[in-house]
Amino acid sequence: MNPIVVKEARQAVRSRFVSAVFLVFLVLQLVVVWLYVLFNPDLASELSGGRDVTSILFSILTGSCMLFVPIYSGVRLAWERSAVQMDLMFTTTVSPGAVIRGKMVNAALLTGLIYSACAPFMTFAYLLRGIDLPTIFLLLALGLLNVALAVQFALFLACIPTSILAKVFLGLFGLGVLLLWMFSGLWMGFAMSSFGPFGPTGGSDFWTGMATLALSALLTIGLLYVFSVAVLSPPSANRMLPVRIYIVGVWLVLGIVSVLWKYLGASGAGMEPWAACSVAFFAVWFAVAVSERSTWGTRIRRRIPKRLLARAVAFLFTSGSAGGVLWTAGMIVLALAIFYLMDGPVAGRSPAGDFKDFFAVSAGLALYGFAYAMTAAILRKLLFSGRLRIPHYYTWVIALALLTAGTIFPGAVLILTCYGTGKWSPETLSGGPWTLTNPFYLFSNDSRAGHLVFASVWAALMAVASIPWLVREAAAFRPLPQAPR
Amino acid sequence: MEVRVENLTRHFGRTRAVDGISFSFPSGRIFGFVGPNGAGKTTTMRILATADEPTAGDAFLDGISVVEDPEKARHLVGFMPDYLPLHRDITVSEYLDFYARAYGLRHPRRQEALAGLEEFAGLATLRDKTIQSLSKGMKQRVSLARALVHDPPVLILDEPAAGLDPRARVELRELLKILAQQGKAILVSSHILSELSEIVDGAIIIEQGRIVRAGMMDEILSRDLPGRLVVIRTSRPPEELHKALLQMPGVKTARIAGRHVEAAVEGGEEVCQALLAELLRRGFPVVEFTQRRADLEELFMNVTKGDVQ
Repeated sequence: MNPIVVKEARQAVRSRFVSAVFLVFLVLQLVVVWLYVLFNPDLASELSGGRDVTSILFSILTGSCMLFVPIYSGVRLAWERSAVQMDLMFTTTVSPGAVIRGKMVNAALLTGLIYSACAPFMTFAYLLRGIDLPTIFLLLALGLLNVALAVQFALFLACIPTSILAKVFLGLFGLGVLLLWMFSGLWMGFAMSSFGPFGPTGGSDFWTGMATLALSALLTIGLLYVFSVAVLSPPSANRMLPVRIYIVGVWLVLGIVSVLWKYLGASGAGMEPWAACSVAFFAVWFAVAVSERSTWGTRIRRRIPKRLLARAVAFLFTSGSAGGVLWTAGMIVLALAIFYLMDGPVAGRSPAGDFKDFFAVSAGLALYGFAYAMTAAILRKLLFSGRLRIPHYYTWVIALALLTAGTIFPGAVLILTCYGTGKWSPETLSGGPWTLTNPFYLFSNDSRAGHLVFASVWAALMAVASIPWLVREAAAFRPLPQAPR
Repeated sequence: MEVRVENLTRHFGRTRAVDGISFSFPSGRIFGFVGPNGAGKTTTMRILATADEPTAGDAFLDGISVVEDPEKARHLVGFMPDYLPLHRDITVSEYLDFYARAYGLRHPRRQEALAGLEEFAGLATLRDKTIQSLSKGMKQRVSLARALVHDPPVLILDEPAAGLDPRARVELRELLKILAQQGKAILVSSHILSELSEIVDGAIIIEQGRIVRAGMMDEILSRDLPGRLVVIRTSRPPEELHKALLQMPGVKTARIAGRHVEAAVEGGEEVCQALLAELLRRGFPVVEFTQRRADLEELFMNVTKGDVQ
């Protein structure tokens, strides 16, 4: 049995804090249900009592679990990972994966405890009528997924080696995203509790939306898990191997499902969602790739294959910025090629119209992603490797700053310099060369061509500038010379 | 089994906590790791225990790198830090059980190991107490037991005697001797050098992140403090003995200390033998003749400047 689970469960059982939260949760539910019954004397004649009570209880349950369980799990792990007094369990032979899994299982146990405390109230809600059992179970499953996502995000945040301030900032940002996620889940849940999962709302669109939400939550949990394990692994290890294998695996499975959906599923279904998600994801991934290290220790070099082809594949799946950039670029090219072959002109679709626009936007986003990331990498090497040093793992911050500046800065300068001079009009802002660094203008039909040319030239320049670096990195990726016998 | 540190470097910003140090020590030996506060002892020990990563250099436990193969190295090393991380809501037996599980010890073996450890470290009466309720000395015992839970061949002990009462210190010294006899390589840091002197076979003295001296005690002492101190008492007045000693060959200085005379002599045991023979030849009725080697404390005071960074 996972030692982390045993230890954490023992501590949780003995913890006064956990007991206090549990009791507060019970009292809160009791008070809310009691107040509802007290102020609704017509409950017996109405058929909406169960639905209303379920909605209230579900909100309390999800809110409590999404706040308490992730914070409890995340803060504990962050404390254990503290650089000053790192917990000694990280000097034992327990694997990083076991640590994260143990924490997740323990969070699941705590969530289960809170859910079980909610069960009698849910039963009571069912007895009030107005809601059926499948709806209650689906609501609970949706809430559980939300909590799992929040916990995994908190654990990931706890693992990353950054300051508490940065963790709090990222935590607040993540909480915002998770709340949006939770509210969409709640909205679906309330719609379901009003009309039933198989009622008017439960059409194919509803279920497609629900399935997409659940699938994206599960995939994000998986990604955050492999990321957390990678961060906890020793720096000498090939940390990115499981991450890239996971991404390729998910990408392949979704691609296959997309192809099957197109050929066997509903008429009119295309592969655009898969291709769009792939390109958007990998365009952002360029920033992750350039933030990786550029040297390998003996542990990795011992495992580098001698044969050229195997070494080339290993290079793409080994931690390192050059390999990461090539792998990301390769994934984008593959995604667009598959899309072209399976859902493009080769598959009998007209190369003009929607297909052309979609392809141009996708290619443009990929080019912008590459250009921004490589510019950040080059800037870091040129400007921030001396006295004012920015470590390689913060290159993504430079890329993000460049993107923010490129999106906002030219327009802001234009407004400041031209406003009130007679050259200014609102239309000035929506076109012209000052928007070229803004990749979001790719979505505008009027400016797409210009942006595509600009992104191509910029990306080409960055690629040319990066060639010596890529060649150097690839050449350095060699197995350790064998010691003479 | 050998512990080897090669050019180990650890920077914290501009501070060079450890600055390219190298040393080694074999199994079955206790090595003292001494230095002023902030010298880099704890940082070095944390790196050896895989709790920290060096900026450069490496350390090897039986040839296994703590940088490249920390997972393998962790099987070989037991680390007792100078603090016990706060574990709330967990008893001593649960705490040790967790670490036994974390090192992969399975059921019957785990129970045997824990029972043996509780007896060895004198924890049997504390097993149901929570960690946070223990005194500093008791926590040190738990920490030592935790470091030994997987029976590692290398022990890294950072200030193990801190907070222990006199009896516990004596017991700790005996425990360390037993562990060294079992063939473990032990690196132990302490500020109580007089006590450390009694158990160490060798020493590594570090100051400002750099090794000042390293090696077996005899080698270092004969190089740095070749002289010996001889404490003599005769039935004649000490003034008479003092005067005679100052005229004898090999005696550097002499001073009267109550009824004794302390003479600093240059050279090894043969010089002491000659001195005793000369005293007897001159008719001094020698009642006491004790030879005292310089110890780790004197060596430390002699070779370090007390600089901190």
